Amino acid sequence: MLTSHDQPGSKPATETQTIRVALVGNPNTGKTTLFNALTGLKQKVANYPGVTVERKSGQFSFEGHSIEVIDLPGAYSLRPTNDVERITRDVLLGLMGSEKPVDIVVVCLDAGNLERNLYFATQVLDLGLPGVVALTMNDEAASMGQPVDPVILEQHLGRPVVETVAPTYKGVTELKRSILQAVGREGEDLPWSIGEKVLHAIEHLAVEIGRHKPMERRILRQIAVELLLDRRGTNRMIDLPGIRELVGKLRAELEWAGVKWVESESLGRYAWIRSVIESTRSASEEKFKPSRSDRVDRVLTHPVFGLGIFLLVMAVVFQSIYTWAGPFMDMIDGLTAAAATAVAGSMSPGPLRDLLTDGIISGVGAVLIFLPQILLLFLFIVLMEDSGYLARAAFVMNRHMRRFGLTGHAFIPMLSGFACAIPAIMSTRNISDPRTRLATIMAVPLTSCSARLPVYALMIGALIPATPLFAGFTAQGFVLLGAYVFSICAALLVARTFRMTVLKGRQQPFIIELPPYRIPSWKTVLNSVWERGRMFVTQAGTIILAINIILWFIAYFPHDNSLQAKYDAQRSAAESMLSGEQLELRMEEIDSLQSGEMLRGSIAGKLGQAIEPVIRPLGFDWKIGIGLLASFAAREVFVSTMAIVYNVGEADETSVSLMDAMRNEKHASGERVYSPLVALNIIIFFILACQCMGTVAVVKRETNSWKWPAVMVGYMTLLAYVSCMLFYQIGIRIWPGLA
Amino acid sequence: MSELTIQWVITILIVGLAAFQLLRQLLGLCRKPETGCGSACRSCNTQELLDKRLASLDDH
Repeated sequence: MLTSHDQPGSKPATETQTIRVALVGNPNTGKTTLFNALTGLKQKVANYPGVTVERKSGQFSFEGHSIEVIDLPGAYSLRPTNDVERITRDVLLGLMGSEKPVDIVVVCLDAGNLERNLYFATQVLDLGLPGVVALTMNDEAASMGQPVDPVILEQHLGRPVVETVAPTYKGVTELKRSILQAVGREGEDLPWSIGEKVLHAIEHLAVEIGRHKPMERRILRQIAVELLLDRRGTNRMIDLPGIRELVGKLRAELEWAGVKWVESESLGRYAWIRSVIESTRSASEEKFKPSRSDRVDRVLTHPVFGLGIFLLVMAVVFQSIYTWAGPFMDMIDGLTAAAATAVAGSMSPGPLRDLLTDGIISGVGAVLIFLPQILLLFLFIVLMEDSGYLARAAFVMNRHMRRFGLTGHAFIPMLSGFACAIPAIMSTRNISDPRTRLATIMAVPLTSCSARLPVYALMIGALIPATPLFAGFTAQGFVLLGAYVFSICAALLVARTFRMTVLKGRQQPFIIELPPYRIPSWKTVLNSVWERGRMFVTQAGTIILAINIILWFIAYFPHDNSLQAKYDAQRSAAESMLSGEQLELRMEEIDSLQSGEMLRGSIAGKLGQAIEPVIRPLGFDWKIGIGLLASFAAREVFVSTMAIVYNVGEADETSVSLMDAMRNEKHASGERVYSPLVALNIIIFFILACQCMGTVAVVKRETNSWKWPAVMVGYMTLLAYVSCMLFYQIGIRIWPGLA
Repeated sequence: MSELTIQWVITILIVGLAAFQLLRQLLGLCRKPETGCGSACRSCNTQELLDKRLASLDDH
């Protein structure tokens, strides 16, 4: 045991104060499901290890008391190996600045994984906080012939043990009652032993730390344990005067005395835990029998069948995303256009009207248009998580991803990137190793998202001939396929490069828990999907909107009012001379001419002309430059920008007039601007360049800094520029016919 | 003031607000520097919060 008799100053519950309860446990112990059952709040529940990464809290009232429950991230140990475990430790020790100290801790124990769960549970109970144990999944343990007797477990732990089945609310009321009864009651010391010499060293170190940083003894002791026994030395307290030297001296003394101090905690805890497990199961234990999950796993984790089934599942998922999201995206597009028309009709002409219609409404549309794909992708991911399949998929893909310095966890985000990089980057939270996660985040934007498709379609349709190649394949189809294959290769090679350079480090062993298969709960699946969608709209969406407004500004100013008068005169002339369809066509033409001239005279237009010398070696002229600049907000903007630049009015990627305008465009020297080589180069540029502010915003949000978004934009821009310059300069020499 | 002038003023205000929001994100300015706003701003770094908490424990 690590505790002596100085317990924290917990007080019995009074009806006026809110009781703060910390809900802790290993990942995948049903902790979040229990949180929902206790508080009735909507929150993410999944059985893929490590999903709960954010603070969640909720309140409930019971027998006149107000109780706040904080759902802490799942952890395997109080000696933190990552930020998630660090948060759990800091909250329990009262070191989290934004979190008040907790009054009581509820520890979730998965009866099916009692040994590993008890390791963390005993660490938590050793902190000296009042505690209650919630025994979950005992029905699953019973089905495997290993039920746990809660009464015997309670005798060992010295804290109330309540068996709960959260989805059916079994035991939840009893748990609430136990929480109230346990507040202010100190738990008995657990009778495990770390060894007298190690305990003495811990006490000595705690006293020394306390001289520099006066804190509660239980906190000091935990810090002392961490400093003495954790050789990774991530705790900053080691830098206090004399502490590093004292730690070294105490370790040397223990080694000299023949004490295995590194293993002392785990050896002591596990010895006691095994004796507890033997007694809790002895009464009713049957022979262990393989579960239904074990039998299914023989197929789903098979090196050949498992891979085949996984690829099939992924094919269905992505086809569904493309098919099902399409109508919703069209609907959002239509609603955005209708809202813009309504606003334009109800206001007098002026900059505010243009800002509302072209900047804000289209900006909101640019955020919402991604939602159907995000929601659908997360629906599938959450279904796979909650059913337990995602852990198997990560296991199957691990050996393939390791060749590129990644792990099986990285496969889903990489694949998700083909729909949209934004949810794909959000889904990297499942990757626990920070280096692997960052390498994945850096590589995901290279996978060919759906926003690139309109650009590919325009370039291929306009400039690549439909020459038959083989087996029904045309040159156009081949180029499209090539674009996707190229993007996959680029993403994997970039991940490998990052892992070998700036994110170099020993590849973490791939450890994943394969939870039993379960039927997902629709309520929790929909809650989770809603939560992801809300997070995207409120956090990434606000940044995308702000950037869209600024881009509108630079494409609008300086606003030459004399141009307005000039084109108004042309409109009046057209109205007096033409009628019917002819008038309509002429009005569209005047609108396009005005937009084009306005854009060319704007800051964005001037920038396009200013960057021409830089993009000339890539075979691009200033008009393409304007398209590239505009598409830095969102790639699909390229098509509509080119339509404005070439004065062809409303156009999409299948617009014949835009394709004709591009095919006929010539330099002052009389040479064609667009050639198959330039088209291929634009496609390569769009694959490699970081032209999505939404992605930048999400990377900022997920990495909690601007450093990594800056690295991403920097390396992708450089990679795109150098690759395109080499491709074009070599291309015009090797294939002059294509230039 | 003419309607066009009002439109200009409001437009500049909105664009300025958008630029300020971006700048705030860029510089990592925290909305609640005392306790941490809990968002992705630079001030809300876990270690900094830990240090603040430890400093407040020292004070008491």
